[in-house]
Amino acid sequence: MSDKVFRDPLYNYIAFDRKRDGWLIELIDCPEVQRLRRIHQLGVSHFTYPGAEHTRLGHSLGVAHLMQLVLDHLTRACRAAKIGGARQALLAAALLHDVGHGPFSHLFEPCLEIKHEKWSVAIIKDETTQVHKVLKGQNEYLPDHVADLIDSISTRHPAWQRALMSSQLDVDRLDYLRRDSLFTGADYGHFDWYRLLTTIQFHDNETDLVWPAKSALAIEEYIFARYYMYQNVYFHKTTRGFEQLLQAMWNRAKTLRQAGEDIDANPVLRRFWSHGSSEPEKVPVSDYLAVEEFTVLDQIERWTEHKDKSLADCARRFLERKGLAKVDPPPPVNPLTARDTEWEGELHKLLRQKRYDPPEMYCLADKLDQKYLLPYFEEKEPENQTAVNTIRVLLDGKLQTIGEYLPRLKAVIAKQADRIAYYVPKEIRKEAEVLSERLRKARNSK
Amino acid sequence: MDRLQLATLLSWAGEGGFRGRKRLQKVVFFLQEAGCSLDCRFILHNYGPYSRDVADACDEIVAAGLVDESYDDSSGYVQYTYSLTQFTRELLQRTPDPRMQRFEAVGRGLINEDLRTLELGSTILFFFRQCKNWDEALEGACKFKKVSQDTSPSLTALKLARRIEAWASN
Repeated sequence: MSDKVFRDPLYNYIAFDRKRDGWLIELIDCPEVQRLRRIHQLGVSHFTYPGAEHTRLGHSLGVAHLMQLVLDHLTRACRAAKIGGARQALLAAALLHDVGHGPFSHLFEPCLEIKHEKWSVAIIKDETTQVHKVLKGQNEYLPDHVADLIDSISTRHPAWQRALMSSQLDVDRLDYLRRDSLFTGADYGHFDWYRLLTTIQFHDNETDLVWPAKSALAIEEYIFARYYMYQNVYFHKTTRGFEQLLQAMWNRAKTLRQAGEDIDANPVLRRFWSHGSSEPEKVPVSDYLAVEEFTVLDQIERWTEHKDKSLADCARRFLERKGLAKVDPPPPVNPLTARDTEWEGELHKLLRQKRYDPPEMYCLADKLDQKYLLPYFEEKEPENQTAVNTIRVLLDGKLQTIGEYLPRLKAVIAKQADRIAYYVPKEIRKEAEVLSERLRKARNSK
Repeated sequence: MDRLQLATLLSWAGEGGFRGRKRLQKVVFFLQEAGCSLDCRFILHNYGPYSRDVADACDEIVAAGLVDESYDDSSGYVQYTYSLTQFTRELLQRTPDPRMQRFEAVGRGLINEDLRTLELGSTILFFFRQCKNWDEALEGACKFKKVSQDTSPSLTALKLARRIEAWASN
């Protein structure tokens, strides 16, 4: 029986053995997995990088492929029985880890007030879904095992299994960095991924995963690839501007909805919101899965004619790709507090003068959490370090963090202070910048 | 956990500063379980509940120049200490955090608690959140930490976990 083969721009061929892993091919054909074909991997990054049209399905297949490679390597390199028992669950977790994503991936989560990880777990555990049925057909306990591997809080399975799936250097990241680099055309995500996959080894009585010191340079390349991708793609200011715009629009709709106004919700969203909660415990899985990107785009199209001027304006700006412009605020008066009320007050005054109403819809604070900008986080105290939160190499039988082994990495992995950027309509950017400069000078002179 | 919340918590440690990142993890876990809204996501690590959010917040406030970090390995193991700068102390006096006031006494108590009790107690409470049964939580946590259930340290840790849980319920 021949392999089931997918052509893939990253790996050329992704092959699954029909005889051994026919169930995995059944899983790929489930409607919940096929739905990923309609979810942009990078949210609205295609507004900035026109090529970034790739989807969660391609990524999920890539992650399953990498999981297959690393499990084959570990099976050859250590006791096959240890891997054998977990192989199915790990492959399924790799394929299904993003099955709970909603429209536009991460960026839209605040709009729907969801966490995709929770929904991935719910979809896998829900007896009515096709993925649940396929998993259960293999083994009664498989749905729970797979869900546990995706649920980062769960501790039911060994740390090495969780680390392969979700850690500072896992199969998920190994795929998306290179895939996002390829599709955006931002040519930064290069590193020796094959070496990383095929030199990983068990440590500490086969409970922990580490790399030999000879792989340190491949790890360094990987960290730099992440650094460049964060700087250039994931936090690109144009993309952030559209993300802010989208979130402001949906917050506005929520405010209106809560005030009892008709927001002309389409039937799918009306049903999703009718449950009064967006938690998997309250919303049937089918109602969540029905919310697709085309549902969201249809809703935005409807809002372009809404009587609330700001909602209609934001909807038009989004569809016509008229984004917001970034303005750096003045240094804060009190760095302990998140909001700078004086600066925001001045900006609101300017927006009112220019007839942007309500001003808070057009003055969007974007707190750029350094947690997401840092290419790699290294826990400092050895007792807190694990395979999940720190990349470690083995040198003469002793563990060292990659930051200790290659001190030059500190230049890119050192924590920076959080920054807040503001997004305002492009038409008033210059005036907002003048305002910021005036406040900066006034504060510096005190 | 924002800067104001973290600075307030660190200030409770007094003049000598807050000692240990592991202690910080456990204190934040307990405070959050007690109802303090710190918005940190914890997972279970070798030494009990651990949150990348806490580690990040701590490193961030140091990077912002609001807290001094010092390092000591003279006792054979690595320990970091966090002290507010004079500027931060003044800011805190001007802008006390009303969200943290209710938790000050319990927070100060936790900071002075024995580290092993914090470790095991927080692990018990972590298990309790999943199984909702104290016997099972004690058994699960002790098995996880490879310690005996019926020893005095385990029972002290259980007592601490139950005290925080009761505090949260009130």
